Amino acid sequence: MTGATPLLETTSLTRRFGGVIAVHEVDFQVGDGELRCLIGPNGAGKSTFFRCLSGQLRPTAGRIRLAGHDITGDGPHAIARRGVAIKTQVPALFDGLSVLENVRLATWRCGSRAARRRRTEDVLATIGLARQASRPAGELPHGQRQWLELGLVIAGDPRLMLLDEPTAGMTRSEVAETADLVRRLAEGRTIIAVEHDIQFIRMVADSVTVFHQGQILTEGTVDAVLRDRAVRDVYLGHGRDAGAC
Amino acid sequence: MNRLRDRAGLLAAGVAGAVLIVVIPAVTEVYVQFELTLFLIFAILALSLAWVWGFGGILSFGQSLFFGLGGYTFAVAVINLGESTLPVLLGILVPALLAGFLGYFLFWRRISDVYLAVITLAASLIFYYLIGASAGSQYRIGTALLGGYNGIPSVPPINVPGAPAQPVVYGDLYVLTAIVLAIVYGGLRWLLATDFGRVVVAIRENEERAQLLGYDVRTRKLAIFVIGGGIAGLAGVLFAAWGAYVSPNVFSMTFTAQIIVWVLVGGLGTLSGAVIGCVLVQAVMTWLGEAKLADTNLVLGAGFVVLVLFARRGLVPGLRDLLARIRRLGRGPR
Repeated sequence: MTGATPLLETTSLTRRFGGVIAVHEVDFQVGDGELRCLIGPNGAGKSTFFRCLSGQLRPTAGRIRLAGHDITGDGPHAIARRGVAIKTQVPALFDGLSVLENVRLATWRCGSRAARRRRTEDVLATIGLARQASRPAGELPHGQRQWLELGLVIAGDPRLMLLDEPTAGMTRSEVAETADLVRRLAEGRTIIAVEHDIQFIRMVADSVTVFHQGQILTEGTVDAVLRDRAVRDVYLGHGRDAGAC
Repeated sequence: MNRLRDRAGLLAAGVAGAVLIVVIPAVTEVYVQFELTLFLIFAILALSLAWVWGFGGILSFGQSLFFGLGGYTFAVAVINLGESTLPVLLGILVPALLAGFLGYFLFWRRISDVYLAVITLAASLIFYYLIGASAGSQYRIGTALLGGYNGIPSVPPINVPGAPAQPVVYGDLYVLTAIVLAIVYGGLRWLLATDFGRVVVAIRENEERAQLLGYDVRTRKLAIFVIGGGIAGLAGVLFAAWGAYVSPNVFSMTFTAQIIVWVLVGGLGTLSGAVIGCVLVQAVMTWLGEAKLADTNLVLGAGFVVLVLFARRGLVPGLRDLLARIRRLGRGPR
């Protein structure tokens, strides 16, 4: 963590679905300007944790603080207005609208029409979809849909970006391009990314938090976490090599 | 391409408006205009649903409720006041307020689409039975008897503002209705082109993403619903003034379903489709009813089957798709 006061902090955050505890008393902190990756096997509670942070799910117990403000239980739009943007696991786009219109809708915080137009053009150039601007979002191939959603996330210039599996379903070259893009976006911003792809994690992460059964198993640098015996056990079973994590 | 299509649509709408407002009154008899007035009133009502459902993504069975309430409000107020200016405004305002009241509970409680449809339908039917049970001299508002299932007869017409002795009837009412239809259509098109309208469409496309971008979906949906309620109320005012009569049938399930059919036939997600679908269905129903060639419902049912098979998205989008295909064929393979 780089700053003295964490940008985001959760205290005993819990989310239950009936008898299942998806997120269990999670104490988590991320500092301003940090790029943190969350890893963990399927069902570890990472996406549920994200959905609590973005307001899509109301926590059952615990608190969430953003830059000192208590945002527990706030709706998604209220949290977004505080500068939190999320890229969901399955790209959530306005499929019937053009790529340009999608990005433009995300620039409402830029003020004047001219400023919004400039910001839209900048974002389209950043995500490499300027030539696809007039194409309906629903017609884009999977990789470009992921980039467009990243465009929606950055268009509002958020202070905290939550990226849920930004490279899911991408080819190796697309993963490398996405990692490069995320690295560039991280300048001056705080990013938390849920990822499984170790190549991506190694390329972008400052530090890693490991989730297991709704709780934090461990935290640390990428290398330290990947060497951790408990992490290897969680991913691969006891005593096996973690290199393919 | 979209801009070209928008311009073509605007031109077509302008021509249609000119024909409706200028040409038809000049070349048709008054009794034809009288009949056409009803089609245009229903077209305004269809536009209210096209806006709420086709663009706002809110499947409302409540448009007939707001239509009927507009009609009843106008009828009661104009009978009491004798002059129509304030009653017309009340006929828009009261349904809009009810839409706001209903919408607050529906959208703030995050009622899902299916339940929303059921609740609005139930609200419509409650009014049907409530007003239906108002027969008897004790059920009156001022001097206006509600009349139960018999409705309110002898509703005074709309008059020139401030001049009760100058009623707007027959040919004049036709022109007034055509102008109102043009204003409502143009107003909705303008609204859709504003930032608010773009967000409305975005909410229809992906409500969750709109929220995650920071848009308060509840307030937008409420605004959509209130505007739709006000437009339906305005259509109800014109309806009561046109027939000098309003009855609980306007709240009935048959009428509620009819509005949905108009919009579906014309094409969901278009404004012109709602107008075309409404006028077409009503014209066919009227013609079949007069000619007595075949059972109206049977012919309409067969028509819907054909529509579903060949133009699933409705007439206007179907026609657009067809034109686009012809254009592509004309260009040939690249």
